[in-house]
Parts: sequence; C-alpha cells; structure tokens
Amino acid sequence: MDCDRFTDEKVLLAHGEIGHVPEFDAHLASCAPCRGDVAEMRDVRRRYRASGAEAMPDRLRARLLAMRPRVTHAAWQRWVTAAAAAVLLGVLVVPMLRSGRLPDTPETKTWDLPAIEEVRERVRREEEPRRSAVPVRDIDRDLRELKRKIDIPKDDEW
Amino acid sequence: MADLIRGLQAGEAAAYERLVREYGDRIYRFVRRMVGDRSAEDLTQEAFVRIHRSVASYEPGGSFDSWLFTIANNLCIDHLRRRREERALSEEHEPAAARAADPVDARELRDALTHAIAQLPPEQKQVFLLREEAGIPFREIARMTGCPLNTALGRMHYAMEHLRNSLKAYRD
Repeated sequence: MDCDRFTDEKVLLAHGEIGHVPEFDAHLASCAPCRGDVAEMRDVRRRYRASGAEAMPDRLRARLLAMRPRVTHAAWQRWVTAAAAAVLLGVLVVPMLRSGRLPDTPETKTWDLPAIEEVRERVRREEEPRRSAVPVRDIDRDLRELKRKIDIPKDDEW
Repeated sequence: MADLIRGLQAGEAAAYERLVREYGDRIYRFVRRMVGDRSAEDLTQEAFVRIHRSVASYEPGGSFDSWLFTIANNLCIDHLRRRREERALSEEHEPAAARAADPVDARELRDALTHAIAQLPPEQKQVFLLREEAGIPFREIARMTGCPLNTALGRMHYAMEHLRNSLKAYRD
C-alpha cells in the first residue's frame, strides 16, 4: 500500500484544507487504516476543542484592560471637536474682545476689593510724612532775597 | 475586522477592549500551552503591549489573526529559548535524579491533554497550537515559521500521533 505517500494529504483532510485529489481519494476509498488515521486525528481535534475552552484569569483580563489607550475618540471626532471649539471662540469671545468687555471670570469675582483699598490707604499714609518732610519753598521770601541782592527797585517800581 | 484594525490604529479605547474580548482568551490559551503556566500571564500581557505598539504599522492584506499570533508565537519561542539556556546552565550543577517529571493527573482527560501537549517538541507544539488554537491554515503556518509546507504537515502528523497515543487510555 502507498499509505506513507499520503501523510500530508491525511493531515490536510482531517483539517478540512484539501479539495478533491483523485489519487488520494482513490487510495482512501480502498484503505481502512488511512481512513482510521484521519478519523483519529479528527477525534484528537474534537477532544482538544472540548477541553480548551479555558478563559484567561480575571486578574489578567483586568491587567490587559488597564492598558487601554486613553484616547477615546476617533481622529475624525477629534477634528470635529476642534472645529466646533474654534467656531465657538469666534462667535463668543472675539466680539467681546472687540467691544472691550469680557465676561466676569472666576478670578475677578474672587478679587478682594476692600483689601485693595486698604493697601492703597496704607501706601497713602506712608507717603504723607515723606511729602510733608520736603521743605516747602517760600517763593515770596526767595524773591525778596533776590531783589535785595541785586538791589532792584521795590515791587511798585517794576 | 477592518473597523477593528482602523480603531486600533486610531488609538480608540473601544477597539482595544474589543481586541481583548475577541482575542484575549485565545492568545492566552496559545501562550499558556506553548510555555506552561508560570509565565503565561506575563507573556500574554507582553503580547498585547507589542500588538498595541506595532498595530500602527500593520498593513491590511494578510490575515490579522496570523499577524496577532505571529507576535504571540515569537514571544513564546524567545521565552522557550531563554528557558532552555537557563536550564542547560542549571542542569550542569543539578543531579539528574533530583529532577522530577511533571506529575500527570490521570483522572482528567483535560489534564492529560495539557500534559501531552507540554511533552511535544517545541516545533510540533508550535504547529499544533497555531492550527488548533489560533486556527491558522497550514500554508500560513509554514510561512510564519519559515519552513516548507510539507515540513509543517509532517510536524503536525507527529504531534497528532503523540497525542493519539497519550489519549488512548481516556476514551470517552
């Protein structure tokens, strides 16, 4: 018998990967051991499938899912979002900038106006003594002194 | 399938979740039976890291399953090679009598099958699992493993013979 010649064909047949091969088909039809080989291989496959439906452990599944990408949108969705943001910017913010008015922001609302006034008052109080310390020049006295030095006529005679 | 690949290439979380859902168990089973229990989880995770990293360069045309399992298979082969080298080093100092064979639980067909697969030479185990677990056709397996088709078929034939003999006591 030519059984050894058809080893490859028997493996292919047991896995459904072979079409009609006249020589092999003819041999198989007349060879019970080869038909037995194919049946045994199919049986091993059946047993493997029956025993192999094992799922990965939950901890491994959790590890794999923890590696999922952070990006949750497709590229076209990101472009649409960016375009929408640009349009919104143009419609709302640009006219405000042009009119010189901006909406209240959280920062302006948190300004402590009494505290600012207090600082201004403290600065004013600190500057006051400095101003009063500067000698105020008596213009009239300076003028009289100047006239006396150059001996010019009295005020009436100018 | 095309939308899954596009989603993965766009970095969509939903596509990645689908990949884990549809391929996680199969890749894990393939890896576990290739290398054994201890390293299977780490290697499966590493396979997903590599898939995620290199999916951007994946070019549709070939089978996506083959591409995925090529990554898992290469990781397993590297791991088995490293383990063989480490064993060779440790065996130089370890008496042969001290090495116990893996225990076989004869009561369970499943355990017997797992054990029988573990006993296969790496080349036969690789072809068997790529065909039975990953569902990759023999021509593609031959291409993936860099051997002629008849070599891949011969390895499968020997693997089947070994498994048939191992399972003879467990007729159902």
